[in-house]
Amino acid sequence: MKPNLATPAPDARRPVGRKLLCDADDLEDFATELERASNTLPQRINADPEKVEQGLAKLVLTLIELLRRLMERQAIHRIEAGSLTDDEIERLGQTFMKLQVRMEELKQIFELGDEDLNLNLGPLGDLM
Amino acid sequence: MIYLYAITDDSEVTTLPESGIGGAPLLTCAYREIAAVTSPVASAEIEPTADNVWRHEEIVEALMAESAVLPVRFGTVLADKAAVQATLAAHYSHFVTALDRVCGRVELGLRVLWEEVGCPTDKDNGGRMADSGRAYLMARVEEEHQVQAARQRGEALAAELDGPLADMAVESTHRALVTPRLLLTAAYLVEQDQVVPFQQRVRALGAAYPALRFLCTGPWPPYSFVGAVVSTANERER
Repeated sequence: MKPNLATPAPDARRPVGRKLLCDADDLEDFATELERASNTLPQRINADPEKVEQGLAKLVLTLIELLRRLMERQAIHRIEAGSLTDDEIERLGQTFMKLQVRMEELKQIFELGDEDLNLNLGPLGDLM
Repeated sequence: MIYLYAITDDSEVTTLPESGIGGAPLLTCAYREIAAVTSPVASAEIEPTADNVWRHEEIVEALMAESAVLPVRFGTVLADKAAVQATLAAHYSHFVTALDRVCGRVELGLRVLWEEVGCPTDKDNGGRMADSGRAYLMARVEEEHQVQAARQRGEALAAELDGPLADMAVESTHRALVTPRLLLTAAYLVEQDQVVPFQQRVRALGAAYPALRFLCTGPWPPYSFVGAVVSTANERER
């Protein structure tokens, strides 16, 4: 875990306040969002033998989640374009629902939360 | 290993702070009329602790008080003095142009949060189930429309906030919705004497948009307006 640069520990010698040009009584909220903005795909897989499985699972599940969302979006476009029959819509919807259930199971097995599968690529923006 | 703080247009800079990261003495490395301000470090990996980050910042700011400065990104380490010299020589004309551009100017940062109902969320699947495949997909279609509409509202609002501030700046950068809640992330390069008027305009925006929350910081060295000044030794290895 990197130290949080957005909110350096309060320190009398470091007048953090002098850098604030407007009254901000809710720095915590800003810090949370900045952390989310920089929380991207792991730069390195954790090679600690205990944790390597979870690190790989995180990467693989993130990619699967990305593909699932891309396919869902593709399906949405086709529904809007009117190029799917009722039957096809039903079957696609069932498939996506089952995929989602399976993803939830995998996330539980590897003890990963939604926050861990972050599709935001920071400076490159959202993949979607 | 040599740690880099900044490049200044004054090769005879005299009023250096006493010491740099880890208490090491500060040294200048001059090339023609420009100079890099450096200090020796033991390792290429500098921990981004609050102490180290503020030390870097204080040194850059002390230099800024005396001359034009290109701040180098925190954590930049080169192999040795020869590498610093080579960098200065190789990018000399780029550095001189950039120093001229930032001279007498500072960076102000602005971040704005919004609480938008139905704002785009990362968890758009929400784990909800439906009675049929069709109902599931139709709910997704509806969600997708809301997300798109909110994104458009957000981008329009971010541009509306940025406009009057960008007008006061020499240069500016802005990005809307880096995260769903972070409506605007912007940096403005302003003349020193524009800091107070800028601050007043941000306050006026805060009053005009009471539902938004503003975080305006600075004045900073112009980190966002100098590009990648130097690529570090360890970045090149990768």
